[in-house]
Amino acid sequence: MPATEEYARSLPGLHRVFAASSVALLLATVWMMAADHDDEWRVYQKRFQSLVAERLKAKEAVINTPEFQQKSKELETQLAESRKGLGKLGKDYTKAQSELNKAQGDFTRYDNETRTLRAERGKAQADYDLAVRDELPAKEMAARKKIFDDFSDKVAKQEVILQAKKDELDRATAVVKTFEADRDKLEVEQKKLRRDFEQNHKALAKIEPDDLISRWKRNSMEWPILDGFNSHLRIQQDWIPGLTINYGGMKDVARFDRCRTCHQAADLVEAGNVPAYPADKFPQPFSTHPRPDVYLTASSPHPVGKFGCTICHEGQGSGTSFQNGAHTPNSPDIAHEWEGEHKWFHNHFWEYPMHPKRFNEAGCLKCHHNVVELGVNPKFGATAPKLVEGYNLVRQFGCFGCHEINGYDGAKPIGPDMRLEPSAEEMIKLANDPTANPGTLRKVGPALTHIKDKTTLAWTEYWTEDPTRFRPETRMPKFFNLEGQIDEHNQKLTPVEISTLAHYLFEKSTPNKLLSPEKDYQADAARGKTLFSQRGCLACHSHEDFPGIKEDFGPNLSRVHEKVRPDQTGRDWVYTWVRNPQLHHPRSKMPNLYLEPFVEGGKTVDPAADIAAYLLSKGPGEFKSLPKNNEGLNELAALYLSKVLTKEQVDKFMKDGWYPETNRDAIKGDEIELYTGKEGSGKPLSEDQLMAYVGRRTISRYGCYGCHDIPGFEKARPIGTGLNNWGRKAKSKLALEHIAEYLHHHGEPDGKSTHDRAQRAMKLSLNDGFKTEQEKETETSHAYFYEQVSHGERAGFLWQKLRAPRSYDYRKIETKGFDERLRMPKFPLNDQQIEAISTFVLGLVAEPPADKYVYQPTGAAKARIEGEKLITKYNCTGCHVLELPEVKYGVDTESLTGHTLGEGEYQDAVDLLLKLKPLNNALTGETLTTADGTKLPVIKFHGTVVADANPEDPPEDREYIYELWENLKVGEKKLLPGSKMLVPEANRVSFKPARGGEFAEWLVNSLVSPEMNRSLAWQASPPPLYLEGIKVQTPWLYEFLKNPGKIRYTTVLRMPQFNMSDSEAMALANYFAAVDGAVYPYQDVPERQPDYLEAKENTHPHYLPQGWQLFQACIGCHSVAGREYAGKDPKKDIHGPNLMNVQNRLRSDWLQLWLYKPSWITPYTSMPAVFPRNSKQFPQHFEGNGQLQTISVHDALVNYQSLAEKEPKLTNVAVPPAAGDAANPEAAKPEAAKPEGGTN
Amino acid sequence: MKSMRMRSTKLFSLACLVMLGGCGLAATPPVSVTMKPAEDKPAADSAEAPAATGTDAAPAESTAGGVGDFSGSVLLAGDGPALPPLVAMGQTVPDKETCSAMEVPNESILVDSATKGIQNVFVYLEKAPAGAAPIAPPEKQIFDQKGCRFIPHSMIVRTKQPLMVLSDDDVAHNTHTFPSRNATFNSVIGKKERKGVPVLYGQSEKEPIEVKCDYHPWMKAYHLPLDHGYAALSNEKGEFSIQGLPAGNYTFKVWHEAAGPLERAYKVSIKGGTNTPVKLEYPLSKFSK
Repeated sequence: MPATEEYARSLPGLHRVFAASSVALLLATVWMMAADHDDEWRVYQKRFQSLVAERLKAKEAVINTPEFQQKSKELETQLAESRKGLGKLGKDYTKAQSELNKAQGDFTRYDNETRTLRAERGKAQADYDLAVRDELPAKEMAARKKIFDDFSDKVAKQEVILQAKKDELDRATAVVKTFEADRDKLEVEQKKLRRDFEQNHKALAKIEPDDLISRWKRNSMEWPILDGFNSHLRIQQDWIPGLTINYGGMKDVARFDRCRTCHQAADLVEAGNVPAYPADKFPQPFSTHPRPDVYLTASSPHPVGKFGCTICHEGQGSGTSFQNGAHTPNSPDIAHEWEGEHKWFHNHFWEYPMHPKRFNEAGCLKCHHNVVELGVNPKFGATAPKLVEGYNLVRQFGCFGCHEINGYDGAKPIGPDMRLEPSAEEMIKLANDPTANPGTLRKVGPALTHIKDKTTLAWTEYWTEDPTRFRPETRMPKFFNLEGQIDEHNQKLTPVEISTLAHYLFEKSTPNKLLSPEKDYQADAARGKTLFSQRGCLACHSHEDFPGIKEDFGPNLSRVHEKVRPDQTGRDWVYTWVRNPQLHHPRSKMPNLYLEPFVEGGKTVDPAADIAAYLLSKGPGEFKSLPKNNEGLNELAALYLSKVLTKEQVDKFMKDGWYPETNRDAIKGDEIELYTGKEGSGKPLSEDQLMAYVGRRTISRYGCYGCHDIPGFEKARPIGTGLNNWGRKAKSKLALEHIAEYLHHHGEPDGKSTHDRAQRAMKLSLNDGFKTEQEKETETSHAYFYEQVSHGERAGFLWQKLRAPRSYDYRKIETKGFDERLRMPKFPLNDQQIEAISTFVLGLVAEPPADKYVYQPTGAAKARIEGEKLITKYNCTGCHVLELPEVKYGVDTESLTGHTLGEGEYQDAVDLLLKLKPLNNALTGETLTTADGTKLPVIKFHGTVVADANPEDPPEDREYIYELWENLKVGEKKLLPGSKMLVPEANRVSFKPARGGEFAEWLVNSLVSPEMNRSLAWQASPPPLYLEGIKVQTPWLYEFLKNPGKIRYTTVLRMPQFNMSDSEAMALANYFAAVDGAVYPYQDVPERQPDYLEAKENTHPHYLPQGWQLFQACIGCHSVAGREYAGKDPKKDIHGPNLMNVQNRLRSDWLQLWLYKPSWITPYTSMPAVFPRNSKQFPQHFEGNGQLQTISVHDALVNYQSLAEKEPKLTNVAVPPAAGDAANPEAAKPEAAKPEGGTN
Repeated sequence: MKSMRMRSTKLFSLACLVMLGGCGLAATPPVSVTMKPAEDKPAADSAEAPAATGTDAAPAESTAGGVGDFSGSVLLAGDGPALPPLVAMGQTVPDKETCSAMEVPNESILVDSATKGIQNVFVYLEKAPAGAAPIAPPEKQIFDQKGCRFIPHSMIVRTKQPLMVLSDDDVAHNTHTFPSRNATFNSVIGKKERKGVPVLYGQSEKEPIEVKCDYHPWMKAYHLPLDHGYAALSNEKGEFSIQGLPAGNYTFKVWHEAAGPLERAYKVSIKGGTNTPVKLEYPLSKFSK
């Protein structure tokens, strides 16, 4: 129909249009819903569900064995029979059942009635209470009271009846039970048998229901629209309101992490907290977090409900697609893979994308401001080793000297704190400010205040120009002639910078009071070499004469003779430094090694002089001074002066040499060096002055004082950018300059193009062309960083800055002044170190979450952290083993001989041993399959190395021998310390070397000789600090650390005195107790209490004096009561520690155990078991009971001083323990003798 | 880490094959088995695993080739050194009354002036030979101390049999062993301890070990704990003899305290019956490890 008057358009035409558009709209709606439904996470969830089902099926298959089925069936039959039997019981059973029913009914009825009555009684009570409150008339009150009393009576009566009904019910139940006992038992048995199966099957049926209808129901829940009604496919969201996030300048809002929508297995674990979906079997996103013990699980310190994911990983937690999550590829080849697989692209708009795998650990720094707990942790081991390495590199290379890392915002901790400790002057000021948080780190370089005593000007220039040229392993960076800045200005002016800098240092160097050996002392370099190796120098330093040990805490000393000033002053300097380093540098980390002269064979030996002679024995080196360059000097001076003076002033000054400012105090900067006084009244500028000025400017510019104490720079501030929030530095603020251009054409150490190398890596990676995995890793890493530079990312900027710091000056030097050039020096770092430092620096974000999330340990955990820092600071691990080697091996447990109480041992002693060193379970649960197919359990133990496998032996005879230091439990067997562990080479699974003590182990090996066996060699070396915390009293250790007195006489060296503050000594003393779970800082000595002593005195008159008499016998080896020990030949006789110190030094329990059996504590000691059970001695004391004797000696030792006060006779007169020998003190001496092999 | 098994740095690479003397009558094993099998397990085991025994070539599975002996003497080329006593009579030392009442001789190298035989040389197999009859350990093993001197100075000790440490002195001693494969024993031995304090070695050692008294540093002795009896200590004339070896090839170790290992692998072929005694001669320079 055409248009009519009624209709503007043809109706049928319109119908068609409407029909078509409604179809189109319907289709669009369907498409829209389909598109909305088509989320990638659904695919992942479905796939994961099938993985779960597969796993459950596999588990079911394991449970559902034929035996299981058989047993299950049997039980089922039995049960059916039992049930049938019940039916056949007939009248008796039915009667019992009906009686039970009736009793149940009765009881319920009466129970209900009772409850009603109790309620009414309650109401009556309340009514009465109201009456009391409202002071109603007495009559009314009495009436209400009566109502209450009536109800009380009723309740009481009713309760009697109810109890009777209850008894009746119990009886009827019991009767029925007697009939049903068999069935009930079978039912329980069946339930028990099938529990695992049923549980597993129930879980499986949830995913794959057994019947079709349920299956269809489940599937339909995945359909669009229907899936809105509690579908099993859904977004999984962790809401972390406490850990806020800032989406770019706006308000901090609660964090939503939807990561687990796809990563559904992230927190799923199996028994023993091991991943249920290990990453090696299940690819992402279906794998469990690799460390469920540390992350995500409820028992871990970071449960997912509290922490979520993005607080550590970064990225967009609210995103539910791969791209929106802001995943970051670890290298360009992975990026390429993702581009294809996930349509991934580099999104510049998400400011903080996820950390790539290589920087995963950076996130830890937000909450772990102390860092060290991520490297050494008793429970979790090293959880962030790369981050900790980065932290340590920043610490060791002294980055913080220029780039302060301020861990505080006011008083609020915001991140790791790495700042220089204040100067001595500032320190005094800060001491009075309780709110101050001064820096704690010492400058990493040596003090240059007395450099003139130590070395020559020429050497200083040579060294400064390029430190690695003189000492390849030095940490001092290179400042001059660096890539990116080489031009004619550089060639002309750099030598001037170097020579003026050295000039300034020498000009300002103040002479020090040097020590020198006694006049006419003939130093013996050969003896010096031995002393150098034995007195502990090698615990921190390396020397080419001792290739077996490489320590880099201090500098390598192989070429030290070349640099030292070649005259008496230089020699005295070395002597002074070796003898007492603090004379040269009051805050030096080098300790005082107590190298005091001593007399040997009538001749004086001065170890410091001998060591100095040895170090200098190869004679001085020859170094040429840089040539003078007045033109360059003047140019630089004029350039610097132009910043503070007008051009005319500069020209005039350079010509006539009178500085325009005549008021000295008004000169603020380095120009102070140029002060000449009033024109004509003093002397015009000298060349020395000008050199000092330019030198001082150079030092200011390069910030040398960040690492060295330099006169004139006591108050100078670090020159570099602070790094405390560098991980959040705006990318727009990174001065990339011409770096892309530079890397396109240059950039590699060989001068080739970085760009080309990255291109090549990509090509090879796509074609699988790398020869080794190692090469692939190196090259794709390189390509990753190159790409990061190209995108102007922080990681890329940092990488290039550390590789070639001055390359950012590429072609910038053409347009900037010489004094504006970049100054960051080049450190000798390898790629791995650069990545570690980057991990640390990128983690510095200064965004601490709320307090409760920040790791702020207290008590022992805190003491541990503080101690760990000091251990690194003073290199305690250079000498001391802190953790013994750990060995794992497969063992036939039958072959182990467990401990049985020996004839010489007391049960109490064994009990005490097990108290102090609790049994460690040796079985690891792992097994080792030997060559012949036998499966051996793998056990783990800690002990020292006695012998390594000898390659000369036939393979089947090769074995490692270790000496056990702990109490070990292997099944039912107990192995006690001192046992030898014989480990066949083929059975050794792993060997983890000791933590620390490399020098001690080296020294032991070098001391072993026909005259000195391994036990004696250990006694001569720094002791392992194994269980030091339960050994020594904390207050004693505190004093000892500050002022280590001589304890042991068997050693070839002494514990040196470190430059430790009181608080440091305290922290370190606490550390050892905290590590071993011992009580600190105060210890009880119960055996000093009057009650205890009185009780002893009552049972054993003259208790303490008897103990005192017994230990007079110790004089064979120990000095006792002011009498020197009886040893005659210091080289051969064992000389133990002075017993006077024992009462303040050792903890009571430890001392008792030591006296029982010393080798249980220190297997290598020479001290014997003095009062063994099987060799009766001293019948006149405690009836010859060795155990009582041991205890009494212990008690006398811990009461040493009061005993000495009370029984002066005893201290002065040697009272021989054997009555018959009273007249002859000599005979009494060596009854028992003991050198102590423990720690000092 | 360096090996601890007190090996001398001087490697004596002598590997001479000793001539086999004419054998006489096939000797019957001179031993009688009195031990429990468990005590001599290594011997029993080794029959099944010939590679793990002290023999190089495939040894006789049983005593089919008969059993033979290995005997000989260890001699010094030249005269023995005249060593001053460790403690002279009346010398001032700890416990002078007891310890320097008599001279304490230096026993580190004892040479018979007539035969030049060296005493206290250990000749032993590391492991019991395959198929050999177990040799019963002595009923009692005694290690005594008198005049601040260990008696005997050197001894072979059987494992898993207590060694009784005695003292006949008026002063206390401490007996301190320095083994590699066994736990250290270090205990006071009271004065006039005649009952004895037992020391139990659970494992064989590869070489003799040092035993000392830390109170009297000159006191030294050597123990060689072995789980079998195929070992001998040379007598005053330097003679030694090991009986009951099934015919076959053997590698012996020869060790002396002043020299360390004299032979690390002394190869001998043993025939049934009596074998020609060997003569091992060493210069004095060997004895200064």
